[in-house]
Amino acid sequence: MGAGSRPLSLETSKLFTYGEDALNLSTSSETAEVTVFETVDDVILNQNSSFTGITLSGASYVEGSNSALELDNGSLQVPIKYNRRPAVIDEFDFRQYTQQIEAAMLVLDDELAQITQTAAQIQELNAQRNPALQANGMTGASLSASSSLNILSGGNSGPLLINAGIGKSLAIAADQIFATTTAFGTQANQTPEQLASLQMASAVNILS
Amino acid sequence: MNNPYQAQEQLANQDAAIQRLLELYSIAIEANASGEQETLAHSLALLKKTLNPNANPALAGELAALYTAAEKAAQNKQPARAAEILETLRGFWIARTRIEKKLFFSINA
Repeated sequence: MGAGSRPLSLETSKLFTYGEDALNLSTSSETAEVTVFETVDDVILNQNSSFTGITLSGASYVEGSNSALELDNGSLQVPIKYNRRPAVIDEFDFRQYTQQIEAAMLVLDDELAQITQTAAQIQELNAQRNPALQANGMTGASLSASSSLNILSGGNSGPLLINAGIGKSLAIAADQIFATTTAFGTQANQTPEQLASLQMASAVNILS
Repeated sequence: MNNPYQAQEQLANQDAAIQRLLELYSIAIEANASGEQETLAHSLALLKKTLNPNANPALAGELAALYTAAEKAAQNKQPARAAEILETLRGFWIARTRIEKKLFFSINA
């Protein structure tokens, strides 16, 4: 139901036209009596809505008008609050929801700042790296990977000692390791038994 | 992931597998550094044997070629070249693991 206005019928015989509390309405009773007329269509419409009634939360004197006259001429203004059953939307905590979004945005901003900073460092390291590496066929992916490795390990590892063929293979491997979701499944398949066997053999070789 | 507990378990299993892989690289690197050709050969053979081409044929092919190159370099008395290959690959896996964990915890935090 949207905003609108409907005529109200007030039982004016029970209304004060002066007195405290501003309403100036009550006469013999403590409260004013308001009757809301409903047509059949209104009843059907209201039954299908969540509204259960209305509350008059106050009334205002219309400036410049006669207090009695405003009752006669219909210029009395009464704010109306609709009483209705709580809807789910009323229980939704928009403030908390907003705070969660703001917190998530802060995390994203922080991640983005770190990525940007890392990318700048990678570019700088690429620029400083031995140009011969690029002549050897290293791609941007492998250079980025190498630089990322450098940054992650916290040091400058210096120029690589690899030749063109190996450099190309490392570049492709780096590209696949960093850019695909199947990398671990391709190589991280050693069983604990296989590793233990190798460790034992290694220990024997060292001792012999 | 829909189930954070399942995701955590998968991450733990994957992490254990990666730790074994990194340990295997370490054994190979140490063997190469100390001239233990037999251990190096076994390590490289295990790396090749445990490659799964079905997961990523391109990566499996390149890794196999790199292990062969490392083996030949060691045989040709070029341990620095073999070390460079193995150290670089190990570094790639470490970096990828760190990125993976960072992404996981940023999503599941």
